Amino acid sequence: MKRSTYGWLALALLALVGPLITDNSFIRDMWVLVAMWGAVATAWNLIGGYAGGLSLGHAAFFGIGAYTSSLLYTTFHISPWLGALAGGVLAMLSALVIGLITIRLRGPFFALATLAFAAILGIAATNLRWLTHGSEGMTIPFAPSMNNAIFASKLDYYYIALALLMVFIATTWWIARSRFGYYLVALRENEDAAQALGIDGLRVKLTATLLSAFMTALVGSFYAQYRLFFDPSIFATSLSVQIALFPIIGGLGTVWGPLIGAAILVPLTAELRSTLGSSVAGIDTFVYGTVLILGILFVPNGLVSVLRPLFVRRPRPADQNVQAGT
Amino acid sequence: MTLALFAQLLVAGVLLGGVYALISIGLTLIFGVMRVVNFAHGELLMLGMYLSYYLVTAVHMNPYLALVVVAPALYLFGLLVEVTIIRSTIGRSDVVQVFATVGLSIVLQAGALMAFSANVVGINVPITNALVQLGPLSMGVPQLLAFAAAMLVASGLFVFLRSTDIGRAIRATAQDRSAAALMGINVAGIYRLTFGLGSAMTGLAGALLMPIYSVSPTVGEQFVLIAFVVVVLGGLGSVTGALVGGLLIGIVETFSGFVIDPQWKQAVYFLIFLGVLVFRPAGLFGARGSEELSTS
Amino acid sequence: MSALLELHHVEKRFGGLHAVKDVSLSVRAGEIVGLIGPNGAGKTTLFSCIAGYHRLTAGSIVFDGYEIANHPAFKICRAGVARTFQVVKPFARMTVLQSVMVGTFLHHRDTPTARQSALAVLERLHMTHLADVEAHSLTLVLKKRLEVARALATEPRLLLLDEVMAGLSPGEVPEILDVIHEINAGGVTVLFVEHIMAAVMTIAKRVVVLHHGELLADGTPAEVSRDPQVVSAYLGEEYAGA
Repeated sequence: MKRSTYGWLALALLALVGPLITDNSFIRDMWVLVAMWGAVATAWNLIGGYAGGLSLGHAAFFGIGAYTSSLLYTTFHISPWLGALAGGVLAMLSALVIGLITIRLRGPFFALATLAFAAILGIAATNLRWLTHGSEGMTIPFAPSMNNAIFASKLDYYYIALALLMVFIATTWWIARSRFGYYLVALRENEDAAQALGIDGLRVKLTATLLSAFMTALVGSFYAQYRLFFDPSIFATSLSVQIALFPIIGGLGTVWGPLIGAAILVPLTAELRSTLGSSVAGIDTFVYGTVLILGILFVPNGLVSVLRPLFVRRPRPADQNVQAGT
Repeated sequence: MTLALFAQLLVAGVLLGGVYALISIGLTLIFGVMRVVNFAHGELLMLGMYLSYYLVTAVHMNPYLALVVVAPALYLFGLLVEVTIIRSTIGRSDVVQVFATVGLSIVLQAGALMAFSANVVGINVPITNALVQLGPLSMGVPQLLAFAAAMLVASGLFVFLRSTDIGRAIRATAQDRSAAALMGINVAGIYRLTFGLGSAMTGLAGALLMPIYSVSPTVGEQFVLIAFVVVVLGGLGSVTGALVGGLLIGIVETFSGFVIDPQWKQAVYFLIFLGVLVFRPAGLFGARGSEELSTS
Repeated sequence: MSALLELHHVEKRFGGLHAVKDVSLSVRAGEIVGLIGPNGAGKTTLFSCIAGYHRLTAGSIVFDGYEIANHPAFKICRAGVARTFQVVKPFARMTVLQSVMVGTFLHHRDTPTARQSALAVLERLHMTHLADVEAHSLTLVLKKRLEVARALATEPRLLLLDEVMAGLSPGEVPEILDVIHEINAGGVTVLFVEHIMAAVMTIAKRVVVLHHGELLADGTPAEVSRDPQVVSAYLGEEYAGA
């Protein structure tokens, strides 16, 4: 077997049994959160990294997912498994509307427009009290069962999050190698030139946005089931920024970059929050912001660009086919 | 709606609009010249407010005298930010441009939380509650002063850009960076100056807001979106546009706050914002306005 | 042979600027037609009108019997018209091969076939050795050639080439001329804008001259170069400007 195959096997083993090593609740929470944020970041990366649409409004789709499954569950006792799908469809519908409005905007203006979209939803969630309980937030009663998608053990949540993450990464991997992926990158690099090659820019970008919204909403539902509580701050700009931060630090427009970003930043900030956060409020976000500034200025291609040379050795005749895992 | 009520709402809207214009001028100047969409704009405002707050409460300075400290302090802070961060984003990809200032906004907000705690604080000196009665209309003195300051800052900037050598150099840089450089203009210097000036104006706005609003580390979030709405409506880069955009938003907010639940009023100007981005991305005053720093 | 492309009274104004005035022109299938004219004559504007990057003020453009005026650019490409850009628009962070694959994907859905087809295009343009080079690191001359490769990758029936020879050294011109000849021999109709007169005269069977947005002459290279109007308008200004 090639050496890279051993690497992949080790990684798979780590993902599967890593959380079993300790039953420390904090550490198991980390595993869940890394998988969960890695999944959202992977979803964002489709539109933000591959298509170059810098959304600062992904909290909107995340929140739509959380609210939809939770409301269907608490009001009509519809299983969150179905509710998550309903949330995904609703997120796609909203992505269609907001996408048609904003997709031709460039760079910062797309970011601003998507930010405004999430802000409007946040205001709606705060004020539509009859539906969302306003700023009191949504509480899901703890009633563990498979049908309720509520579990007593964090391990169950972890494997669900891992499954989502793996499906999203596989989807990205497949897209990156397909015509659709080439089209997204071409549109990002130069929209005029892409159109001249027969690419329907609006349709392609909209498709990516819908897919990304659907994926993000699924994780939103997962988040609601995991935490069993959330409030309108789920639509906050800071959440949208955080979602974008992981791929930026890890590597925009790469298959593994978003997960790498989440795997480093999630434990780092959690650790900072638990050790320093109680004495100095704000230090965790301060570090977040500093990492973002330094990362964007000095490692704009993400950690993947730094790590890749370590894993991809200079090709020798025997293993010239070994490609970077990104 | 009676005529008197209408007039009172209109006056309140115009005064609020003055405040909004004031907080937007620095943003539009920086965009117009440097093409930098500064997502940390709200935090510059927040810093101005905190500085003013401490000058008033700790040093017992008159809140309007505090301006002469706050504006230069924010100018220096702007220079620091330009040299350390903004400069390295010029001419780079959208990701760098957007997320460098997003990161700065996070850092400043968290820094303020560490330094000042999350408490919402305000100043309470006699002038903060002073009213002027004009027939049936009543106007807050701080609001009037903020409005007057907005007019002064806008016209001062207008004159500065029109009739001084530096102002003309700034406008030349705004129109064509490389041509300006060929003409011997120190573009890097102009950028530094512009960012400093924009920050100073924003700090000034913060100090003028302090008698009206309370401050907390996240106060910038409330205002930055309004500022973006205003400058996009008026045409990014247009000083006059910021003035008119501010007034429009102020009036719309006051009236919509009367007609619909005030809690929804923010949603109203976000909808306006989306509408403008969709139908008139160059803003009301920006026929090619997002391309040029227009003083017309 | 029938007309592949027909322009009827095409007009384009930008505000007060009348960039293209009442241009009617037809290109038969299989032709190589050169479009020349002094700077600002409206050549690139006319190209952009054909390729769907500008809306016409008036007139119509018929390709292969179908009206294509004011259709979106991607539809015009799908109809069989490919263009290059005078100011190159590379996909900076894609390799040469990937850039060309974006074009071949139009007719080859799956990646391996698109890759094979792109490699064939690169070979025709003598760019095989550059396949894995990122587009942004190419020289301007090679970026122009990549523009041709990408356009050709969409398997067009009409290829619009906008100054692909500008900036080439005299030694490099014959090579690209050969390439264009080969493309044409393969059944692709070519309409090209060029400044290098010698190149236009050797390769084009027919030359169309634009001046101030108007059609000034249309004929064989020999006829056109003898036309006194063309000599005074085009060549005169060209030399005066030099």
